[in-house]
Amino acid sequence: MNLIEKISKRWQGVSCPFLIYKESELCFDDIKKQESTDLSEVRSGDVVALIGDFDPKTIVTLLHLIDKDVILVPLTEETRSQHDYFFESAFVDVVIEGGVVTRRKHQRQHALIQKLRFEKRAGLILFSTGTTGRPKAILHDLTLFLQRFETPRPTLRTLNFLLFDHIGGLNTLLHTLFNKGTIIAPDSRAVEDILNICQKYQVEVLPTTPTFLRMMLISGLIPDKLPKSLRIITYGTERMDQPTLDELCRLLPDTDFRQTFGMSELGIVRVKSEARDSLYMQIGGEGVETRVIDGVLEIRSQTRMLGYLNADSPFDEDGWYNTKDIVNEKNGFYQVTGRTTEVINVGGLKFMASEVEHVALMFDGVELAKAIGKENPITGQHVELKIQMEKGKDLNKRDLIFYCKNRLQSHMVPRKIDVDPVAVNHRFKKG
Amino acid sequence: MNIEQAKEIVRQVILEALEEKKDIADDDQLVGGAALLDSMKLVEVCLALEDISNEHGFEFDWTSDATMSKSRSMFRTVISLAEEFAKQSGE
Repeated sequence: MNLIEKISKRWQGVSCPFLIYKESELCFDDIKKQESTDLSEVRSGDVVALIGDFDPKTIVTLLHLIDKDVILVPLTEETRSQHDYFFESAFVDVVIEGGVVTRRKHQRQHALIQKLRFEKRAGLILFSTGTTGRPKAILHDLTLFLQRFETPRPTLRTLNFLLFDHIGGLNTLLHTLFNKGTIIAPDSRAVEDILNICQKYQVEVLPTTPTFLRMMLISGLIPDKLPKSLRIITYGTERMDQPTLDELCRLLPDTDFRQTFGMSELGIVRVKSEARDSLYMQIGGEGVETRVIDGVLEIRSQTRMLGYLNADSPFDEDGWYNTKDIVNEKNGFYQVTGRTTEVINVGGLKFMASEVEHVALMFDGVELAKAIGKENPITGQHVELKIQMEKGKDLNKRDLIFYCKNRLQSHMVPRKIDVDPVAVNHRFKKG
Repeated sequence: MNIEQAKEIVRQVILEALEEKKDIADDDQLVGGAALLDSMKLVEVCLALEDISNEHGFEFDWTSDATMSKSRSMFRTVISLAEEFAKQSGE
């Protein structure tokens, strides 16, 4: 691929910065001139895990890797406890972190990766929640993924709130690169820090999550601390509630609120909110179709993934994908009202109840465990755990929480534990 | 429950959520500014207050739409949370 050359042509003669990072303003030329990691040992068709963030060195390395037609696996430090699992599931050949290139030895092959290699096409692997309790490795044809950016579109000064391993974060990066915009990479995602950055750099678009917006309301920092430059606030990755949206619209009458909706399996889909204060949205875009079967939303997309590397295909024979989102429909607009699976979503971070249960069941004396996502008005949901102990054993709740904290990411740790007989249909016996 | 008791309870649950020893003033901000808590810690504090309220014979309501729309500001400082907790105790 010749991505750097293509983007360089688009940026010729443009003086506005592309990236604002740690108070430095960098034009695309500055990014290009960054010392890239030595990629001489990386070959076309390698599966390469790049661990980083939206910093200049990671971005330039990412662009060089795409030009080398590798199959890219963007990862962040935040998921380090799962990296070994990610490397295995994605058949990773090379790991790059902090400028150090390390080749992994393995003999395993996957037909979908082989096909991309044979066709000399770059790939992209992302991870999503797995229904069997482990994240699924999603393989995209990167050439196809990048096609949508060929059509010029307007761009605004955007704060890149989502992370480097998230399809939304990558979409913002690539959209801005192709359309000569400016992105601001924040150091912190705390409410006041984000609002200060928005003020300082006159941010126009702030992509967020409902949890962030709830914390922003609670903080009392809006409307006074919200800069006038901020024209659009988008929210997605978890379900928004109407009272929060109503309050935001009341306090910020000049700001447009737009819902986003995405599934890493489907690529990027276009979403249009019915109105700034409405939770109904239209889902579409080039090559995207929707339908509702038994109250559940299904989507067919031409930019869908090639497949999972560690699970069966989720598409039916006609290419439809069951989103497992229960929706209300109104004149072609959908409102998501629930899920058909046991996915728990804490502040936009999704995981299966079984991931928590498996850890709890390893704790001494626990016979049965049931994790649930309990609704709350701050993070949307939090984890509560119901435990049944073996006969004659007592549970020290603090010890169990400490045990979970050492084995699970922070958002997955149970915030409340009840010792109670667990309902029969919810039993998870120790294996 | 009087306000002094409520403040002491709120301070204790915050310290437990923070897992560190720290001086906590009445007007310390919980969220925003030099905030003590992130969103998950704030949930932990509310769940702990829910448990304590049951021990005191009342239910601390922090999840209903009505409460959230009316008194979102109760989460702003130690004192505002303690005042709401004491108010809901009905004493």
